[in-house]
Amino acid sequence: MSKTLVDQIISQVLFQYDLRPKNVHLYGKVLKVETDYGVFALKKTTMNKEQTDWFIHVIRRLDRIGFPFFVPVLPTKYGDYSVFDGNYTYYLMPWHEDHRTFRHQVQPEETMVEEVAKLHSLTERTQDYGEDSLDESFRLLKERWDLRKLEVEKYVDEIEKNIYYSPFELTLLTHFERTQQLAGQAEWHLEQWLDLAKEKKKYRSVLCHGRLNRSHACFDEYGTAYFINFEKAVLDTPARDLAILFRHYFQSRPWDEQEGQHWLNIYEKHFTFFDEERHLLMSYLLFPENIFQMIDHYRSPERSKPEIQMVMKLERRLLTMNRVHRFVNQVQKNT
Amino acid sequence: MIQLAFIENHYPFREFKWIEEGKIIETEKGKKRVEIWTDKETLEAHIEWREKLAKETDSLTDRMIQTANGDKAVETDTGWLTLHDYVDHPYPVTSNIKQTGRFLGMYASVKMDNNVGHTDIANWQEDALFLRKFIKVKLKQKGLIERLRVEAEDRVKKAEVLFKEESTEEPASVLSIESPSQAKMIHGRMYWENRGKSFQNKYLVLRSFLKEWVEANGTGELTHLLDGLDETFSLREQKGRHLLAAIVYPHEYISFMNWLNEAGESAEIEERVNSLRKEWDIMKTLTERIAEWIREPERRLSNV
Repeated sequence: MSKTLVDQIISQVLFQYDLRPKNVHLYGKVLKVETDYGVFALKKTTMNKEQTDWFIHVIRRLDRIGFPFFVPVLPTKYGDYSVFDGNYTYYLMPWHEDHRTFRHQVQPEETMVEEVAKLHSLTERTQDYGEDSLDESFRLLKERWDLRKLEVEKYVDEIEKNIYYSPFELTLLTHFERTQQLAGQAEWHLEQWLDLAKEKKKYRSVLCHGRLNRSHACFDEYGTAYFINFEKAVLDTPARDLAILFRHYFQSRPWDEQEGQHWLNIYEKHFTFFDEERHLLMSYLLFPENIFQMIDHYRSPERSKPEIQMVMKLERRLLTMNRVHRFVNQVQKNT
Repeated sequence: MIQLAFIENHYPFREFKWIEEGKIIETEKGKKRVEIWTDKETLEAHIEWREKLAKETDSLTDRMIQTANGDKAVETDTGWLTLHDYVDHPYPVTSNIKQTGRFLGMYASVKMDNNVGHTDIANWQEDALFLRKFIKVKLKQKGLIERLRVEAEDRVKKAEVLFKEESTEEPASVLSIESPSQAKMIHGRMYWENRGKSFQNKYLVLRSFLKEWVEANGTGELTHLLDGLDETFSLREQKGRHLLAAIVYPHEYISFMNWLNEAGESAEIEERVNSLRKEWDIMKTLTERIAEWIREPERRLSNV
């Protein structure tokens, strides 16, 4: 698409906010728009009407309940919270600079864990659930995991027939038994969750951000995080959000089980897990999906990374997997 | 007269200046048009219409700009005031014929929650009685009008066949269109200015638009306009027949006779008869062209 056409589309969208862009810079899918009335972030998304309606509902709910840690979405001059140009859905927010250094000592991971706990606490809802729906949730996840395991086992059976193994294959084969053990443990925790939840006959849901990671929060200079990108927000178990956030931390920075426990403690200071939810979190964290994804990537014909990089990445993920195991053991000991 | 200070108190702009007193103001965010509504029902219907038109057609249109309190209108001593963008750059409809047709189809498909205005394509019974009456006034054009009357009766019968056969469509109204010049342009995109006063049957609105189109642009590019219209308002089968029925039906004759009955022997008669003949000819041409377009092998309809 030509620059003029892009500029025209931006101008058409911003017209509905009565804004005229002076300068526009693209940061991924977000446009930083400088105008006479301030600096704004214009997000371009592929949300359909139904998804957009839900997204707006979420944003308005956050506003209504007084959750302070999110970047608000601004209405158009007609009162809409999004603009559809026939192809994409756009929404506008005030521009928040994302700080990486702060005025005081701040650990972004701790801040995010604390704020997401507050989000969960403010949106908590307990619902009565029939055994059937719990069984159904269990069955669906178990079936998905069984299928993933089967695919990987089939692949491992195939490569075991090779006379010579590639470095990636060798690394995988060396650690495959361990991977299977952890998948088994994940299933055990999932069964524990099912049994305990059935006893309670109640299920707790919260508003989950759905894609928590460092890039979906803007930190101000004092270290307060403001969440953005609620497009995948969903009402679900709090374990879902925390598992996504922890998995992101586990992959993106050095950590150990003490630190993991520390993050969990911060979360539970504001929003304590029920036993069954803790089991669900452990089960989500233990299932070696990250390793399985590496295998998919390695086998993919579109793979661009050289073998050596794939091996290094797999090794890192295996190390993380073992750390997660130690972290889970420690959590179990402490509860 | 609306005071500028009144608008200033309700809308979130910093600068206000009349460009055309009571109608257009200049703000730091561009020119805005003031509209006054004396009837709440009409205002509410227009709010709903403009919101729906914008959402269902994904087009820019003169929706109500919200007040600082988030309201769509402000109550005044004489009614309600609304504020709209003022866009004066015309959209080149003749260079964007298919797009215009597509928009027109989407426009005709907008559905209001509750039907407002006239939803029927014609007053079949009333008009039939009316058409049987001979004109009583003495006019030099009496012969012509009588010939048209006979033909109009025939047109009603044809329209009846086209409209009533296998008719399963719910009658629906959309805001009337005065002229294709309601299409304006902002940042390279069409901005539709709603000028219509009343809600009418959608086929009558299409009829009126097509009439204005032919009057302004001739029939040369009509096929492209119909192609575009067909993309968003399928003219195959029922819709095509209903549009033809609306065009075949002698609305122009009935409206002329209504005027004549009220005005009697007026000085305007010459002008009115000319305008009737002109519209009559346009409708005839439109009927032929649309029927021809529909009869094209790839668009062939049954029973047309």
